[in-house]
Amino acid sequence: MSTKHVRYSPIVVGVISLALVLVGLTVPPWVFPPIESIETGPAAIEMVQFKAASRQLPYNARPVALEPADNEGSPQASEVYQNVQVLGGLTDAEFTRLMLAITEWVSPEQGCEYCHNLESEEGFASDALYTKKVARTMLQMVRHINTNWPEHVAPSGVTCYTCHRGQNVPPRTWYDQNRPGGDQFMGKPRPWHLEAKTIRQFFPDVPFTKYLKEEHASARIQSSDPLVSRTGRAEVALEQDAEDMYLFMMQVSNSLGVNCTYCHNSRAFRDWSQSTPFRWIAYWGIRMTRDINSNYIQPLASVFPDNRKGPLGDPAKAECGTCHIGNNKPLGGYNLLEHYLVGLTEDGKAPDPAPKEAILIGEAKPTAVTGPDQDAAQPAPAPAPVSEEAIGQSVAPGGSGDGVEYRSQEEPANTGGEDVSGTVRPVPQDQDANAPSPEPTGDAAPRGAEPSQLDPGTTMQPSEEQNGTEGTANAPSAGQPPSNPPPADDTPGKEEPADVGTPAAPAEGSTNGGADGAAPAAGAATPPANRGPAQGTTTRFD
Amino acid sequence: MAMLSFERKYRVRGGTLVGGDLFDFWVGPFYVGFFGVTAIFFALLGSLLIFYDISQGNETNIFAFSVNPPSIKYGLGLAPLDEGGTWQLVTMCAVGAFASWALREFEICRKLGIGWHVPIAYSFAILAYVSLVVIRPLLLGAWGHGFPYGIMSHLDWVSNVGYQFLHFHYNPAHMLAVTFFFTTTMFLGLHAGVILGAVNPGEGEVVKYGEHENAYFRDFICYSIGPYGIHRLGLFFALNAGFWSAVCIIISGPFWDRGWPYFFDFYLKTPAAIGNVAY
Amino acid sequence: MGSYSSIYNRIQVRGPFDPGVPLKHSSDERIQSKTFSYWLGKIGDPQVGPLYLGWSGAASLAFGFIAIEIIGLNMWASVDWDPYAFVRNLAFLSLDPPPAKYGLNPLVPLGDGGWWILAGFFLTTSILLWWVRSYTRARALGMGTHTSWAFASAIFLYLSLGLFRPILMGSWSEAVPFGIITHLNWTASVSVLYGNWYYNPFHMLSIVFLYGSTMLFAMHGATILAVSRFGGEREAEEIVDRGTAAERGALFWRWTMGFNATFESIHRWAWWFAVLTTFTGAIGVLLTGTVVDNWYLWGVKHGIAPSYPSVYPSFPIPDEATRSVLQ
Repeated sequence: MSTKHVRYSPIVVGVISLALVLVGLTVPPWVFPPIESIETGPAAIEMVQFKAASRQLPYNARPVALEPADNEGSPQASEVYQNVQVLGGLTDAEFTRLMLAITEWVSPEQGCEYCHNLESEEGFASDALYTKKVARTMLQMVRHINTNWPEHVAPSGVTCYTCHRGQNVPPRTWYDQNRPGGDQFMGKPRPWHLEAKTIRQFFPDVPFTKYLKEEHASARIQSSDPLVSRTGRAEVALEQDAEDMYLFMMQVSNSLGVNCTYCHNSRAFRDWSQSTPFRWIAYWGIRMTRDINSNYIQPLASVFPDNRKGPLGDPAKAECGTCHIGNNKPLGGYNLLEHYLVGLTEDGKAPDPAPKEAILIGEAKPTAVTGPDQDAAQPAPAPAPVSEEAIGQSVAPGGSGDGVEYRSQEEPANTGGEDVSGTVRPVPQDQDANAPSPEPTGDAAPRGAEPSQLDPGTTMQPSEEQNGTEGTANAPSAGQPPSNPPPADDTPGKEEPADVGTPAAPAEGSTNGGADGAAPAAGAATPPANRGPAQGTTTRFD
Repeated sequence: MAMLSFERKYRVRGGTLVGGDLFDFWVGPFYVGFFGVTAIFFALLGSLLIFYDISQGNETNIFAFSVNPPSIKYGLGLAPLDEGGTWQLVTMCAVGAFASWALREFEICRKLGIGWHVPIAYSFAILAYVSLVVIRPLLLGAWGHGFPYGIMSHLDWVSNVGYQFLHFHYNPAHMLAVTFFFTTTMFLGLHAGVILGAVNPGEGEVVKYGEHENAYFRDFICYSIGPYGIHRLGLFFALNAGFWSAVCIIISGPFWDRGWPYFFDFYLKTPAAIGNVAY
Repeated sequence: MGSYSSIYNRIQVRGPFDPGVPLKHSSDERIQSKTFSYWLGKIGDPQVGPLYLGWSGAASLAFGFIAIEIIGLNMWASVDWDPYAFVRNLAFLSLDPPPAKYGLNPLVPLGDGGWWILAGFFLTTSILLWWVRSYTRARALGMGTHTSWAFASAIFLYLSLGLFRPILMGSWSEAVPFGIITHLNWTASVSVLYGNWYYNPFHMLSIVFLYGSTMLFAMHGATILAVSRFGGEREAEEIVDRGTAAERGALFWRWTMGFNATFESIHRWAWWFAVLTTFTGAIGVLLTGTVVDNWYLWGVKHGIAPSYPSVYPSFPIPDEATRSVLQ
């Protein structure tokens, strides 16, 4: 026995080890150099974002805008159509153009009949389908975001496509989830989604519920004092709350394709004076998401049919990844909105870049980058197939349109019908082995333009001439420094400089959501009132 | 001379790798050799550079002293002295000094006629260091990815690198490395404890030897790996700790650019994902 | 060199089964297994056993078994007793301590953390009984109890995490869950929650001793292997009666770094490094949340935090943040 073993055991052990090594090398989705890096903090402490040059993002096709409408002599839409509640002020030509665009963005396969019950007597005016009512609220939401949340969405704004990406239901959403109770005899489960196919889905949604509604938990988990107070009570959050916060921040980072050091110096997460200005964008974004979840999406619970709702009867809500989908600027900052300003904003104006500029003072940009110059690789919008025909060829919303399963939140709601002709679809691309985690299924996974977000070296130069045309103008994103000068109080483009401070200074720890939701109204152009210690002056922290 | 009572007979000529008899002598207790000369050169130069760099700042707390690598904008090129160039020179000196030290250990092993286990083990430590400041920066394309030489600043670096991957504990190589570190320490405690227990048996007891050591661990945990095996096991675990540490940092960035938790999508997608349960 | 000191035994010496030296102070007999393991022989001694069980060993194993069963069955129950899901998700399954609302109440509903308390009780009892064993076995052989006290240091860290700190904090919910991924999540969350664990000086010390222990074992193990051609692995003999192996090992380090330990003192260094790893770690755990709330700010207070150049222009910060900047 032992002689046999002596001869064969090294071979057995060797083969097993080799197999393990091979599995470890081949199965996981490794990336390979070159890796592009963007330094977001001082040298030496590795506040750096990484992105493999080969990494492709899902749902990244960019639709081109439709031809401008000929508004000469076009009557108002409200005069032509019945029951136009939101867009009645548009001309008929502009209205039709926007309707075509929305069809292209949201229901390219089902066409108009996804929302309009054309078989009813009222025709287009019918509100029989729940999708029409939802679409109306969503239109109001988009207009609200573009006009009232410039802090987060300027300059490119949002359109329906920002979230929908050619899907009936935005690919990434979440539902309320109860933390498991303790009433069973044994086996209290953690709220993981054990059936998920990606880690992103696997993680609990409890943190979203906690932080992305107007009734939200306090995010201030750390103590501001080094020592425990005289009473001996710790001044920090409970460990379970910290875990939820940690998870929330991980999901946010993953949504944006960045890591913690994009906004924070991790040695002092809570300290704004050591954070990057990008933390402001996220700060506003979280408040914007609370606003739209609570004021636009949650009220639709009575409109949606059950199969569109989560286990607790709530509609699919937005988180950071709903718009961002792995990009720190959705679609790389592609400005689609500027072609539809009339319909998709409340005041017809592009989102005001001033609040962001007030924070970023025109100079905030990654301190350094490595990697190839990606200027040449700037993605071009995909030419849209003939969209005029969408009306005529619309098909009734089939079962597939409604059949989203609440568990597969991040998968496209509708993956059928790859060959629906005459509708507008993003250009499909090859599947990429290194795609980020939430994979779209089937051919509905469009991979279009290169992400420009983490493309270093593209716009390290000021890009004033690009404002409003490239769609990447002056949001303080990686590699794309804002180009405008520091706003003085009389900076043109600001509307109500008097209303200082309201938008941006809601207390983070406030459990009363009122201030947060209502804040960013007219005075959005002004910087927050409270200029606390800035980074340069508080480096010593005392 | 600082010589032990039995030392003289071991101080023989030969065994050098380079330089023949030229540096084949001792200074106090230290053996010199060619690599001793290079080691002291690199160590001195590196230390002076560190002092120079610190003298250029105005930190006064030793914990806050730091020699910082350059910004990543310098890529793989040389940086100005006061913007990380010193760090680059210090790194060269450090690698030179560590390598010299290892080669000098080889010479001493040869001189004493003992195995080369120590220099081989030491080279794993050098590998871990070189991974951090040379291999990974090379793969990422900028020296700025190396870590700063300072007591607290290197902790800040470690913190940020950890959070670059959102939750570093999910790094599989990090899991392995930590396991090896803890296990090695446990083995060390057990081994040291039993040796000390054997030769310090308490009043009225005679000193015990190998068979008692074996008997103790067999009684205690049903298995004694033996006096030879424990050293091999400990060395193996210690080297694995260093090796997997090097792996865990090399794969972080060059071969994975997202949060480590999201790395495990593949596990949920593999055949193991069949038969999910919902509750 | 050669086969004598490679990473596994190419030749296994298989003598008669060693029944062990007589026990001086024990009534029970050893369980003589009389088995040899070829695979264990690859790395060390092929003989398995004999084992001394005794009352403490038997009780320890029983309690440990109960603890593992409680943890495992709870995990299994949390996936509705699906064996496949249990295996597949094992890393993510968890037995959590009671939520904060129960405080330190020992009477918690079983499904809401009561099982965690029970599992912790049984596991702790098992570990303490195993410690008793480590002590009595050494005494029975007429040896010193150094191993026991090293083990005690590790137990101190375990109890600090799961018992002492929760008691000091007044809530079981502060304790670590039983679970592979969940205890990692706990670790990461606690690090963030209390500012920055890297700035905890006892964590620094613990890491130093952890790395130091690993380094020491590499140095020591390598030295012994290197001099094993001279019989260096017979350490106790070399301690009592120094031979050429000990002399060469000592001279290697003396010539390399100007200083050497002896065959005995190296084990004292090693023992202290190993013991202090867990001991300092435990102190760091016990101070967190009971004395220090934010380790980073503690570091700032004591002037050890380095400053970095600011790379962004000044920008305003939310008003609540000003309250949190250290004055």
